[in-house]
Amino acid sequence: MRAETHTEVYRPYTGSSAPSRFQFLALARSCIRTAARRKLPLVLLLAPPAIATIIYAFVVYMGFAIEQGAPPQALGEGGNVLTFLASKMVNNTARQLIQVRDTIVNFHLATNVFSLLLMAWYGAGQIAEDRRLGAHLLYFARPLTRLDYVLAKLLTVAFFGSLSAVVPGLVICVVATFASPEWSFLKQQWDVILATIGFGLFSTLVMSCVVLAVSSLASRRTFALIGVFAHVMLSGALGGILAALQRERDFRAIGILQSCARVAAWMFDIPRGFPRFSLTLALVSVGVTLVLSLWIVWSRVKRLEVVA
Amino acid sequence: MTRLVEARSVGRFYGEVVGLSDVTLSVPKGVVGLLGPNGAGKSTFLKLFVGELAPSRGTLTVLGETPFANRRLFARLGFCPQQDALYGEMTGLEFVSFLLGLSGFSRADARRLAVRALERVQLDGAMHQRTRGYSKGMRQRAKIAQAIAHGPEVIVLDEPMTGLDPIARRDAVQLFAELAREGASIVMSSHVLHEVEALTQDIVLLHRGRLLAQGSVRDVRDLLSSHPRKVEIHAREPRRLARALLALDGVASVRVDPARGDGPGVVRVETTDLDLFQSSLPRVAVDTAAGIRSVETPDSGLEAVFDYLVESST
Repeated sequence: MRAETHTEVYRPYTGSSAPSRFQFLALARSCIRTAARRKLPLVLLLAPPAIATIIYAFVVYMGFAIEQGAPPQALGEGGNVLTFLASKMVNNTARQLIQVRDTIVNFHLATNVFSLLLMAWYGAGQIAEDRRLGAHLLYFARPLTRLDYVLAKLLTVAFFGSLSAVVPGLVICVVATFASPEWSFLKQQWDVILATIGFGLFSTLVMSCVVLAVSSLASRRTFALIGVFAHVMLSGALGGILAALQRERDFRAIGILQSCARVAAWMFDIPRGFPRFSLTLALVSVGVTLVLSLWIVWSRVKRLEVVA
Repeated sequence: MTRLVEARSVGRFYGEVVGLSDVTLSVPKGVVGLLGPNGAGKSTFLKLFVGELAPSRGTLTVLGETPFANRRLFARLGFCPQQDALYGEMTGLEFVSFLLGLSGFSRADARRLAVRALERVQLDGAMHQRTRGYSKGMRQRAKIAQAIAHGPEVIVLDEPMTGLDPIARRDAVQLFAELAREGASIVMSSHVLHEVEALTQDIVLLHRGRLLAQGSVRDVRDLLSSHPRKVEIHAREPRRLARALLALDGVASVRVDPARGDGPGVVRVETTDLDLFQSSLPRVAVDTAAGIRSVETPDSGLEAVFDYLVESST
């Protein structure tokens, strides 16, 4: 650091900086960029939802194609026997899955583990690593409040969660909209689009808060990762065991993923294929988890400097 | 004139643990060294200084403003924490730019200022490398760069020399001295006392969360009138000199190490009034013709002051 050799370059800044009200966006953007540098896990964790999106979008597309009485274009022009047989087989399957709302809910159920994995992988270190490295000391010496910090971290985790929980559902809805005859999906089943966005955001928010809460309690990212899965698995297992022992299905509301699935059934108005326990209990369970998680995050962030 | 920092009965408690207790001080703008052993409360004081903590009791102002959560003041401060604080996935340039972005600078300004700062700490050659691959010294320099990048009025450095090799330490001291010459005030905590002494004579000494002393090293030393100062005099006739020195006011003790071979002997004096002693010594030297070769005050350094104060407070 031979400063004298650079005096002609360096001059103290004489302009003015203008911290905006949305400083958390700058932090969130940087956190997302930094986290996304780890590309291999991103590819590995996004691949299953991406593949599932393609498959489910294809099924939706075929469902509407059948509804219009035309052979699916994706199978090529009709005429030979092979194409005919293939379209027959696909049509049989597609008939069972023609309901887009069923498809989207099934999609959520099929990929929610990957959503959780994605959020846990990229969210576990958000606060834990800041504490370990002392990075928050740099943040809080700048015009960044603790609320900004929490919002930025929440946004970061939610971003990765939404890649798996919101975006694929929207893609399926877009395919359904364009594949449906005369925009019938948009006109008649618009509530599915709202439910898709609503449930995607809901589940992302709940799981993001859980991940951040565990991250704020852990001293290392690895511990936080273990903690997230321990919480999800143990709560689910406890609910299942109690429900079996007491022969009372409502105990399943203890499991956070089960409660989310129950809320999904309610939001999409689908009665079959879902745990049939009290919706109220499921909402209470999710609500308590959400409030508790936010309280933990906030109290830990307020105390961040103490442990540094 | 606005003081750099003014603290009145400031205390900060972490539950039952005392981080800082009843600290009252007033420091003018300039360079000040914050000294103290581990757990003295230096980092707590610096966190209060940069507004990351609010005092549990008392009042603290920096540049005339209350620092806690003071967005306006943050722009005038640059903070280099003791902790590592770097994300390994970021490059040095991204790290500094990103933090400038958090301070409210536009992307273009942030990048321009980041490049300048990294050049200044001689990290321009590695600014596009991820910090994961940085050595300890490079990481330290990256942190210093983010602290000085926006040209703050006050630069707060918590153990900035940690991990730097001797040459980098010397360069860092030069850099801080130059920043001070440019008008920046610097508050630097360190365990390496001679490095603080190389940068400034103004110190704040903390121990166990309490203010032990504040002022110039010399002033602090002079306050310790109860503790005799040591003077070593190398002379050809040490015994004759010792006899004369014993008659002086303020001389507490005199010890003689006689000459060996051709070398001079050493007279070790302890005096409670160094100024009086130093003004009297030339006359004694002439009167005794003891052949004085050199006069040293080995305990006038910061290290000795620190030791005296810490020892006397325990």
